[in-house]
Amino acid sequence: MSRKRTQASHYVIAAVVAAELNHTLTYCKQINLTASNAQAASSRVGNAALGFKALTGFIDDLACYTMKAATDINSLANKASKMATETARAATALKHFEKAKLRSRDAKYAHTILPAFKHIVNRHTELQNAFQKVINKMEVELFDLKRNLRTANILASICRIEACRVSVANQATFNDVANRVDFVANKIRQRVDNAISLFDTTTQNEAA
Amino acid sequence: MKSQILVETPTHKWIYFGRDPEKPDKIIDTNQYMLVSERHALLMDPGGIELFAPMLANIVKHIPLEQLTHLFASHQDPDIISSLGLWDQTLPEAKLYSPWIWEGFIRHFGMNNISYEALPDEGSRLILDQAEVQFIPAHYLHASGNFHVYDPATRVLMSGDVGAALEDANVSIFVDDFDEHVKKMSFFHQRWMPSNAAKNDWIARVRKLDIEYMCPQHGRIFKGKQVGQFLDWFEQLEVGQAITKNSS
Repeated sequence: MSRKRTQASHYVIAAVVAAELNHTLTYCKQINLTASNAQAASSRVGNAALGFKALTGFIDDLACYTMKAATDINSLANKASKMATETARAATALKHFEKAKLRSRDAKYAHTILPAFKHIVNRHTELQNAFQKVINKMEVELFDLKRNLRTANILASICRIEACRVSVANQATFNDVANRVDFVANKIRQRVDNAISLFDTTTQNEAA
Repeated sequence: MKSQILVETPTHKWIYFGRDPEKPDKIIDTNQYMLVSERHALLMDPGGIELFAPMLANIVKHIPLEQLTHLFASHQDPDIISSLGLWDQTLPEAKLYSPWIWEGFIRHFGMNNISYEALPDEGSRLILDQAEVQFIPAHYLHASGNFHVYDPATRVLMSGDVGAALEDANVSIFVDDFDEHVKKMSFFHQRWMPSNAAKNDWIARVRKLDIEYMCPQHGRIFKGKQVGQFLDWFEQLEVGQAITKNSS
């Protein structure tokens, strides 16, 4: 997780992660809706669906957690994007300053460049470190989100078991909820995997 | 990059910078000027990003960096001031004098530290130790907010794009043959200058100034009687050529 990456690749990572997680937010809303529909359906069925009714609360919690996690990672991605711009600016300044330093070797007041040069070197290092921290945090949070999404599959499986306890006529509704949770969770997982793979691809490219 | 003292008085001097042999081929050659007084310096039209390193390297041949306290941008073009983001990190305490209408635009080049001193349309003055310069309005020549810098003591007019010429980057910095030089100026003025009214208004005001050196941002410097020759030539020139072409 603490692998060093180039600044340019981070512009892309930050932007694409933000875009992927934006899609995730839409899916979370779909899970919320599914949970509400399931709750309504279980109320209609009555006592036989009590176990199912409890599950809808967990589905709702999962949707809320996913939405919060996606929002947090999205905000980290936006922060990273802004920091990447600042870091790139400092890197450009450093590059031009190094050129100037070299060209002014024999200048009468060449030494007067040094305080500004030092300041830019320090600023660049600080920005790089801060940027790396944000990127690492973003990666950790993406892995956490992916891990927590496994709960969705468990919830869907329990939904199917609970569906067996109600009449045949209502089974289809409950199975549909289970399928919906599975489907949307898979969609979110795909987006999160896409975001995670960006980190891997970048690392491989840099190693090559 | 060449740098040489243009004129010197007991209180201040003007230094020319330009003709950088390492300049990338496809960017337009530019002239930069710096007024150095006892404890301060004013760098005029500092140039584009590509010019930052050679400029910085040459400035410290003449003054310690901390003496450079003031910047001037005649207008908002990239060849004038796209290096601002770099100067901003180099001279965080500096002041930038530029037309008020361009503040929001110029800040796009990156300006978090330097303070923007907005020049009003009618112009203003700046005192640097014993030296005093005037910001002369040159609106629509070519930018809609545009200033030149006049120093009555040395009789220097830094004339921005007025007097500019398009030619090789390794030529003399002074006009030698005015008639020959006209060939290199005509297209630039006809195409880049949009308004005959603005041009004639500027000429009428500048004729009242006592000018020994007229220093454009591209091309060569006019000296002595060449200044009057330029004003006469410019007065009879029809500008805004692209509009004329399209409407004919």
